[in-house]
Amino acid sequence: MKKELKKNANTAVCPFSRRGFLKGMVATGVLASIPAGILRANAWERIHYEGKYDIFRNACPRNCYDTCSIKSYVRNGVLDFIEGAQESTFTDGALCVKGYAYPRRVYSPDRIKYPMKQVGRGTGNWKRISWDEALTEISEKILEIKKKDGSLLGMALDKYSGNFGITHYGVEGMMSSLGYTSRFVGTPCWPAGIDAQNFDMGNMWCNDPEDFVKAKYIIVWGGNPAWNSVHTMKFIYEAQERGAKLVVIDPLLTQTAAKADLYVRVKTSQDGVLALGMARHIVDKKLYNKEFVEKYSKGFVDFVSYLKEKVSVEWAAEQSGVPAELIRQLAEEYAKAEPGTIWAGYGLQRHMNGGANVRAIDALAAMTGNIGKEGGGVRYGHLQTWGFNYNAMVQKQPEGSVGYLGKDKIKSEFTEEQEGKAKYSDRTININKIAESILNIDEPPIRLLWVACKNPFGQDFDRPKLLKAFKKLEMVVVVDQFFNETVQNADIVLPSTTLFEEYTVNVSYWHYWLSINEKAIPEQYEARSDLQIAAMLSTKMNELESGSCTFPQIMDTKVWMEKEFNEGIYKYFGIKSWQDLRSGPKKAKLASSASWHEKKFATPSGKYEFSSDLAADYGHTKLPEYKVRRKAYDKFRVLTPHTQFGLHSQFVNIDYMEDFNKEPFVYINPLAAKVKNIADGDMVKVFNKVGNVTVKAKLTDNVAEDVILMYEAWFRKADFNVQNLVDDESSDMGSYKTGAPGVAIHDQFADIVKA
Amino acid sequence: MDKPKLLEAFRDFFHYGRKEQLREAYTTIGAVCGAASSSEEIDWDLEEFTFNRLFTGPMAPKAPAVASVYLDPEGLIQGAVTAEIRTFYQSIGLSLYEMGSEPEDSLAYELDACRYLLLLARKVPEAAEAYAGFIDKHLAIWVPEFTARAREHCPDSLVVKDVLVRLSEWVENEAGTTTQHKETV
Repeated sequence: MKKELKKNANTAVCPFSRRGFLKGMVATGVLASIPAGILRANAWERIHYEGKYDIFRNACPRNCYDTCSIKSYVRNGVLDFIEGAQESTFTDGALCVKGYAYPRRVYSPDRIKYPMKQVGRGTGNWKRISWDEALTEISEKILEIKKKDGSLLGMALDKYSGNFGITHYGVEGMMSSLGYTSRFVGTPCWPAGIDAQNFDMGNMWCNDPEDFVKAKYIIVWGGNPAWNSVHTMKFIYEAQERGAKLVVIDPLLTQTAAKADLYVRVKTSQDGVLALGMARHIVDKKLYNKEFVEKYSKGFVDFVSYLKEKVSVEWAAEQSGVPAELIRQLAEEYAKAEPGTIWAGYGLQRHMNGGANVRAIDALAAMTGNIGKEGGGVRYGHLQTWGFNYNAMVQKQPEGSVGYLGKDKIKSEFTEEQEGKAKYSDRTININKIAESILNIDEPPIRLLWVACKNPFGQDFDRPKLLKAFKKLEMVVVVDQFFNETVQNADIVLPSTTLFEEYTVNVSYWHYWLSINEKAIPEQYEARSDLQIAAMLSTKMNELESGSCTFPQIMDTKVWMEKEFNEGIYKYFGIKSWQDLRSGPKKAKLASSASWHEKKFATPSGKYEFSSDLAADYGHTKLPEYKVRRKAYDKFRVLTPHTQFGLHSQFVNIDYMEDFNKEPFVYINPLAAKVKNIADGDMVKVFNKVGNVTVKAKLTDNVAEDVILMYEAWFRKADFNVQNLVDDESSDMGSYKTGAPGVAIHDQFADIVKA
Repeated sequence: MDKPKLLEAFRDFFHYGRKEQLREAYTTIGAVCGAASSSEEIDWDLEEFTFNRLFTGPMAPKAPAVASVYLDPEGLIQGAVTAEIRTFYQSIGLSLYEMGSEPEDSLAYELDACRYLLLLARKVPEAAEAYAGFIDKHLAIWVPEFTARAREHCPDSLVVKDVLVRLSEWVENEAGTTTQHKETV
């Protein structure tokens, strides 16, 4: 959308003489004689700002490690610019490339502005409808389903992390307030690793990322923070300046790897083998921490026996592709570091052996005594700061609601398990098998799908199957800010607000800061927040059938935000009231920057469990043993990680991002390309059993010969979707803490030919 | 020609975006200007779908009806162009009902401001000058590009295409008239 500045200065803006028009007009009383229009006639020469801004506090609600604290500058009701809050030592006054584009995103002409109805799903024939019309149509469908099925299990919610503002759990609350419904549960993101850390330590709890500076040896394993957690990088750089060595272990030579002192290319999904090889060498050299393994762990002797019996460094080298000498070097350097730390990225657990990979890496950190140390630890994530009331989420079903008679419990990594005493429950379905479930579930079938904070077509797996599944649905309602492929396959789209148009509160699953999110500008056009939509739906439902929805009809998001705070939060963050957050974000009062600093683990034994009975209960090995990776089903491994310029499909459609990220590519190693007769810039077809994509090839040795890489994102100007190549095979873990296993996103395979 | 009435019809055509209002506005435009397409030939659903594809969404609109998109060097809405128009409205005693909820330089609001100034000019002569300035130095600069872009994307439309042509002609005529008026003066 950028264009050259026109030479004629008159065309840049509209250079009227802004003052001096029509002086005395009001005094003459002529205004009253003019018929009213769509603009409001005022006493003219209203007061306006001269350089003065109203400053608001906001927090980025994206599913990102950094959850930036933002200062927003508003004038005349317009968000002029934003910056990172200086009060947070994590955000430290800076935002990422996506964050700085927020004003552009808020005011994009492409935003969804009004409720709209598609006449014929997928036709592109849209009609603008009023909120009243939209809610009436939806409410009538809900009542029809209830009448037809005798329950609301035919209404399903597909929601995940598109907006992590705490009050957005009100979407789940809206569903409960209507009755017992079907819920897609689990997470496509990080569940295998969560279970792994829970089996090993009893919880997922990482050190404060700001204490990276205390580390002497840093291994970033299967993550790319230079793109996806830019604020953490400054602490890593500081550690490097203080003499720490940075090692990056990854199948791809990432931007983070480019910053490292040592880059180790590991075969995809063989991270666990590499960790076990390192563990074996540490045992051989007696470099493990005796005090930790004897006093604070359970099952170390069994683990050592396993290593001696089943693992050798040479075997690990062969399996992982990392030379034996390098494995030994890594093991010794890491074990001797005081302290050494590992950042276990989410990429390494998106495999059929992903949970096992994380358990092996956890074991490495535990046996070297690095867990519980400042500057140490095995960092995956935490939910220590998420102790809100979830007031918006917890709603009662209407009197007489009928639901599922099974034993389903709603599990979420972010909130406490919902296990009521009610006779009925919601029907839970694996969020990572959405297409399969819609197609196969009956009695009752899913008739109405409500999508919020999610773009299943951009992010979920097996797109061709999802397209088929959507055809089975009787009504699809999508709440979103921008058009995407899910909206394209919806019947009704409802416009949602951005973070600047509502109140909420945000915390991170990585750092320890708490930020308030204030409503800085009015709702744009007819956009409404998820909570407002729930409140309006409640009004309409009760209008059509009294008592059919219990959701409080509160439209003020500030009221909802206030209800999320409690004494526990106030104490943890050392504040007296949420109002204190108006002067800036606050950090939790931590006894130590290290997680598990008291070495009291939350496992059944209270110790670090190299041997976990709980893991066995969930069908895994007790010990962190080698688990065979998924067998290749095609010639190349396909990797589809996150792009630098978006978060899934969010931001990718903004023109500022498109300036840097103009089109999608498939990245292929030059040697592999030569065999396939593919030159740089050729259009190629990548295909497998799921589907295919046609895309331009880029040759690079940043990827191994057996790997092809495509960044996961939705491009508005290209028919490109990596989910045409990703099936919904489950990862090994996730059911214990999130209700469903994760997805083997990076265990995918395909072939490639010149198009 | 009843210019205020025509402006009101143009305004309503671009503001409401539903086929009932499109039909009503188009009827008025035809009544004021003459020679509109006959209603039997018109598929009003198609016109509504076309209108939304061009100006409303939910897909990225092909030709957003906001001046900033065409005048701001980076196409930034709620930037300098919107601020300039907001200030202009303030100077003539107009504002949006909720400041910041929509850009003031949206076409429908600008047409409403024109209509207002035309009516006001009957009693306050200075309003004619403001009207002329607004047309010459603003609408005449961005509307031609806007209508040209929109017309590229509505091959099957009768009404939307026709209104775009008429709007373009109206702006051209008004700019010509005001220029001629100044030269005469």
